[in-house]
Amino acid sequence: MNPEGAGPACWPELAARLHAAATQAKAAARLAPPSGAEALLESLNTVSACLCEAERLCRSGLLEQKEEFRRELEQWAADAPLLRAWVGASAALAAGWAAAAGVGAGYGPDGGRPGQARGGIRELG
Amino acid sequence: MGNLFVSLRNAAGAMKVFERAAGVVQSNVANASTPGYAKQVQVLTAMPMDLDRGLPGGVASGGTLNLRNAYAESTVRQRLSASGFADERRAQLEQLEPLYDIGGDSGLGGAINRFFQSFAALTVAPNDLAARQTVIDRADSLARAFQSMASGLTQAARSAEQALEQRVAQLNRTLEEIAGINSIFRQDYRAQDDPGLQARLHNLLEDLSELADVTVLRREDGTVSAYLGGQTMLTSSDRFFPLSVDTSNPGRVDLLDSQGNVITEQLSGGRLQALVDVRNNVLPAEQAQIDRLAQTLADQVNGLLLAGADLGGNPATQGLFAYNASLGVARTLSRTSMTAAELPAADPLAPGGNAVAVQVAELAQAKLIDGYSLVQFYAVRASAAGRLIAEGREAAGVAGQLVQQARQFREEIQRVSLDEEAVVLMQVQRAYEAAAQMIRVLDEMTQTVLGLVR
Repeated sequence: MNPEGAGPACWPELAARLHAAATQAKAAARLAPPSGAEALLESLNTVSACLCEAERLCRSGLLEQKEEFRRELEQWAADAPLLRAWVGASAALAAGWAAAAGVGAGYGPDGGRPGQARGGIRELG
Repeated sequence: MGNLFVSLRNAAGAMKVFERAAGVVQSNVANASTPGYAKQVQVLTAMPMDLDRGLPGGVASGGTLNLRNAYAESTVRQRLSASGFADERRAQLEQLEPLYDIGGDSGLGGAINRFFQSFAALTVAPNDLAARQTVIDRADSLARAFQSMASGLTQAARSAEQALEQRVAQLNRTLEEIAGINSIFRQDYRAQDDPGLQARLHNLLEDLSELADVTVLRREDGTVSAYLGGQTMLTSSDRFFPLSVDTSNPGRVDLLDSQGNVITEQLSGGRLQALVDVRNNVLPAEQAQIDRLAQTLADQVNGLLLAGADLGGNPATQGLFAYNASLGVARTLSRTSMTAAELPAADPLAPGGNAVAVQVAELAQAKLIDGYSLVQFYAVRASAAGRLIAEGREAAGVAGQLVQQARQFREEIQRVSLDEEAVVLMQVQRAYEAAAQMIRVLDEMTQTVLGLVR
């Protein structure tokens, strides 16, 4: 254990936390909004905490026994596009929900909702 | 990167809150038209932010606030109780309307008039058998008119009793259903947050208030206790205590608690009190007045006739009317077996004359009851009944308007505004869009850490 309270033994623990959080995130992202949001965000929080901790350990030079964590992180990175797709679908559902109620933010990461008229001047060509 | 994740966590915290807010919106929108539903609001609480001390700030859920207003609910229930009383009283009193027919020669008033008119005609031809027979026939009709009036009042009393039994059965069913909801609350405290269940409970409490003046107490476990007139427990927790009606006493009707104790006096509003009041007070009072009228008329006529002499100059041996006071004068009033020839129209000292017939005919104008003539007294009773009915109708109308006013007031406080809910929906949409962005940032951070651990 180093003076900061972290040592090589932290990596397996970090790997286990990342694995559990990634599994939970994938499961929660498949749920329709808003029911999956809380679990999804909890797991994303855990993933972000794991990444923070991993970064700190790396910068402290504590790199022993990190293999298992690296494998989990690679798996997480491989799954990320699928996760993004599911969350994007949830965002679209929420937008549709708001549109059905007659309101909507009108903008977002993917632009306007399907069928929504966009303002401004469209450039030709 | 640490500060970035603090920001992400803040966004995540906000998302959690918005998820709950979305659930509340779903409930509000779905129940916008549900009777008795009260709007719910997700309370948002700002969290302290001091990064050096590990306080990331952001927003947290402060729980769900139910906009149900106890004062507004209580006002609606009180006015429903008053409205139930006024409406039931009106309905019961309207049964009296056809009994007091004061139009033309029909009804009891007409029968009294025709009876004295026959004696007036007899004064002109005291020895005419046809005129004498007319008096006998009119006496018959008068007795039947009194019987009919008494029968109508008895029927009205019976109708009030039956209505009371039906209303009490309705109250017991309502109590059973409230106890059922209380039982659900006791089994699962989270059921208290079910807005549909709460709406149902409040609708039942309104039904209860319309039937009787009920005090409602809400307990910490979400269950409600209801007390009749603030005294007799009707329901508590998952138990209810059914009421019953005692009709064994012919003179009155009583309300009994689940132990068989008389609790009639605890009624102070609602349909039950109206029914008990009409049955025990209004109708017996009317019956007593009609009995007074019948007895005064019969006694006065009999008194004069018993001092007279018949067609043959013989002294009278019986009166024209008979009754049984213990069974009700009007109800039992009948003509005796006196024949037309036996009708004592003359003074014994002046046989063949019309002295007694004149005295009986003059009774029509004599002030015999409370300073009124017999016909005037009947008209006063009919007028009082009419006033009672008119007041009942007016009171029912006003009470109904007051209920509407109280409901409107309650709606203004706790109704669901679809516009407001739409704004929350928009916030939810934005929150999901923010989550999508968050995933992208997290992905980039993953690549950075991967670069470090490889």
